[in-house]
Amino acid sequence: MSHGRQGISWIHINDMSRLITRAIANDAMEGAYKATAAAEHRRYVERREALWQELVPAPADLGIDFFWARLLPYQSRLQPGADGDFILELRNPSDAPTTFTARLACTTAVTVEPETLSITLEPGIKDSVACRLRVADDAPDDPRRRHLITVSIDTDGKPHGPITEALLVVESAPG
Amino acid sequence: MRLSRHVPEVRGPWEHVVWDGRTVGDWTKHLKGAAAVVNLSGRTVDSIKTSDHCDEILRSRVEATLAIGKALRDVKKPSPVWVQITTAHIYGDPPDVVCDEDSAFGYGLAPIVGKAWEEAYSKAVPPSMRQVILRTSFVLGKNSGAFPKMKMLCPARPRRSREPRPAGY
Repeated sequence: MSHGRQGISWIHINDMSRLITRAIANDAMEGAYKATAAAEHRRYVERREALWQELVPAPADLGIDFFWARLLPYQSRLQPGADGDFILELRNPSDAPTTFTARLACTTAVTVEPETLSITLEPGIKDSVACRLRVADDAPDDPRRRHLITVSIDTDGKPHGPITEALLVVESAPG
Repeated sequence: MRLSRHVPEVRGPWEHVVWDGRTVGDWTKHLKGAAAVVNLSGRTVDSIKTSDHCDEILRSRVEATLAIGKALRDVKKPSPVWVQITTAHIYGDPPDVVCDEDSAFGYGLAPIVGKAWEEAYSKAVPPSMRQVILRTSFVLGKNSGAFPKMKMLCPARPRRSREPRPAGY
């Protein structure tokens, strides 16, 4: 047991299985590898928790809802030139009505419509806003590359930086 | 082919062989012609850290690894690769440092076990085999790994004691 504020390194079981398969199949892999979720993802989670704690009056830092802000679908595949519908789910954990303004940013291969999403939520209310992603016609077709779509969130005009993210694979023949 | 000390509860597309995780036995014949060796064995760390448990945690990992190595010496043509799972906890519990593969190892039970485990592996693995060590962190899955137990400890939803939960929460 510890003080309860320590972090833990973790990895999803599916990623672990894929890593084992890759270690078997890929002759270039040799030596020791640390198998843990990316530091980048951890920073999103930390920011998301920090913002949650800022919004929720103390001492309600128990039982943080990891999914109070998320872009869905988290993982998707689109063909070059295709459109994809996404929703940003938000819950207002604070005691006051709050306006959330979200900006989506992605790699140059993807454009977002609209660029800024805005929603005002009453205390405790969860809702979602829709947006559409368009993959450029000449986007590189690479099933191994995952395009990161980040969502920066402001609450009542105060910026908090990237809070959540989704991953997109551009592939001509999904399946 | 799956080796373990107990018959697994779930069925799957594998054959199962019981071994003691310690000695070279009848199971070694299954190493012949295997495409790869993946060693995940070791007593669960999900227990109270009594000295007996700590001893079992250490020995079950080291001895299982050495037993596989010993068995592989008797195989004419061992598999091309041995994937060995160890622990990311080998780096200890540094409060502020983000560790990578080259970071210094830490201090405590897990780093001691991790080092002994990797030493056993380097002793055990035949030189002809490609060597991959995966230092895994906490493995989480919706229905497996450590997540279901952690979930059990947490309230299903954030709850505030003072006021009733608003609609839609």
